[in-house]
Amino acid sequence: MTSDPNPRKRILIGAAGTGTAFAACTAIRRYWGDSVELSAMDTNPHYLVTSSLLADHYFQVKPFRSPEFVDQLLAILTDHAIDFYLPLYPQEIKLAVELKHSRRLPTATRLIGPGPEACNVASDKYFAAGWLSEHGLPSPKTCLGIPDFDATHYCIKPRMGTGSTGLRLLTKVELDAICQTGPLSTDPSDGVIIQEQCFAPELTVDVFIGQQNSQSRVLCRERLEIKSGVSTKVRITEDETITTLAIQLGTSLNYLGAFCFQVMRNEKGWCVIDVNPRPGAASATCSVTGNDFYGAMFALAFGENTEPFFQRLPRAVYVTRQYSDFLMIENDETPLLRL
Amino acid sequence: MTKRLCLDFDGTVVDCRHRQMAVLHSVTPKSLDIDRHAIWNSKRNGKSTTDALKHAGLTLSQSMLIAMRWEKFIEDRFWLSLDVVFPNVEETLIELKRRDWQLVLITARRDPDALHQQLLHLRIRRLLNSVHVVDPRKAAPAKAEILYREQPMLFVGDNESDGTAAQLAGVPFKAVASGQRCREFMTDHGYSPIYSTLVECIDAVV
Repeated sequence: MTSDPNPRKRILIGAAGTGTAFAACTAIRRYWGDSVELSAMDTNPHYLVTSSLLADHYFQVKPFRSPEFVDQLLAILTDHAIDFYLPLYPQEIKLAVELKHSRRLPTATRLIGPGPEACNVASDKYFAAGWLSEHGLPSPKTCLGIPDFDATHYCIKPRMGTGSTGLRLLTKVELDAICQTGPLSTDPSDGVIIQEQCFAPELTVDVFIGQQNSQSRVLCRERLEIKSGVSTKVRITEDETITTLAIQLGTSLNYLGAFCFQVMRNEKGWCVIDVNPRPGAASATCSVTGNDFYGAMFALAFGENTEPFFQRLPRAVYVTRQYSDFLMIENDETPLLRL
Repeated sequence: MTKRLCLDFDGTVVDCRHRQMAVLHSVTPKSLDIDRHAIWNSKRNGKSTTDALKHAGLTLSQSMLIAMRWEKFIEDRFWLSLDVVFPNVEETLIELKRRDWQLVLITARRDPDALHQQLLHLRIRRLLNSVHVVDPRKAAPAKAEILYREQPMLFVGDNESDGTAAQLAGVPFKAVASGQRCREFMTDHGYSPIYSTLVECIDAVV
């Protein structure tokens, strides 16, 4: 009996209910079709997770904070002989990186994700600010407890938060009033950081770092309209200054693959306000310009050529997004419905 | 004579296998363990979606209802986004343009606007002199009418309906085996030679 020379690659995608996971699953089916055995997992039942329509196997799992989650994850990876695992929720990524470094992931499973340092930069905004400064990368003035720098406008945000969740914009007077009762919490788990307030525009920068410099790609997305956290109108451009910044960031993080980060301006120019150790849900908007960060991410993991996933953008491109409707079948016993 | 080439789209310019299989997977209850490769091969051998499902072991009513669902969703814009241009086709079309060929697309689709968006996304529209969309229910005669008007030097398509259209219009036809019909099926229906891809066909003929 001979082994299959081209066995189907087996991939597990976490947080399957997110837009990011849907974009990842779509890229798999678009470029690799049925040659990939796609598994997806989420806390919701399959009929509430659109990615399940694209997946060969779907697993409803406990929340990643649950003590049962790790056992469930390891069982899926082992029982289904998963070759590649793509965690997407920031804490899930952190957990996966920890599992990898404690050698608890099955040896045959390759993690598509950041290294431990990039993971810390992405998950701890205070660590990130210090790390960026140490590596000569611009970041807003940042401190813990009470402000130790002068600014007219400040923002406070959860130290371990994601995106702009929990962000508060304050004047100096307002922040001083809050700090009069004592320093703000500095606890890594529920503390906040104090930053100088940067100004618009806020750009999300999609980055792909390839094996060689020439294979790397950077695009800027300006979110012109956001509904329920989803970018619905974006302007996509190339920018030489930000490209240099992005490559420097990726190189400093020893990153190989796709990720994104946000920049805003302070009086010195662009500064990095957030780093995400994966492409974002709206990174998919770039694919209609012929630049597919998800496709390139998987191609790199599979050892394939990433160049076909990118092309130059001679000018700014606007992309609008609309919702799609999907019919979800609740269970196998549901009679086949006439539509 | 104007150097004009007419092209079919699905299965000729773009690979729509991934879309077809993904839609089939999405509309099939998980308990029905179907072999999508076998179904795709059945369809390439000339079977309808219903017959291919039946051939894969489903009952007639299961097959008919899944095929109805498949038909309903197959041209939804999200699923269309799974189509990709076959390798080297873009470069080949660019080269044809450089050599002053007029390129005309003739395709059977229910939703012309979705096709237009798809052509923009896939960076193909800029290479085409014109695009014609016909009703899939009467694809052969409608394509024939356009071919008769356009009078191309050649029409390239991936199925027997394209061949019939070319025959009706009196236009030379070349078949590719990259789409909805396999090489054996097209050969059995009297077409020869059959090219593996559009690029191979253009290289050999144009």
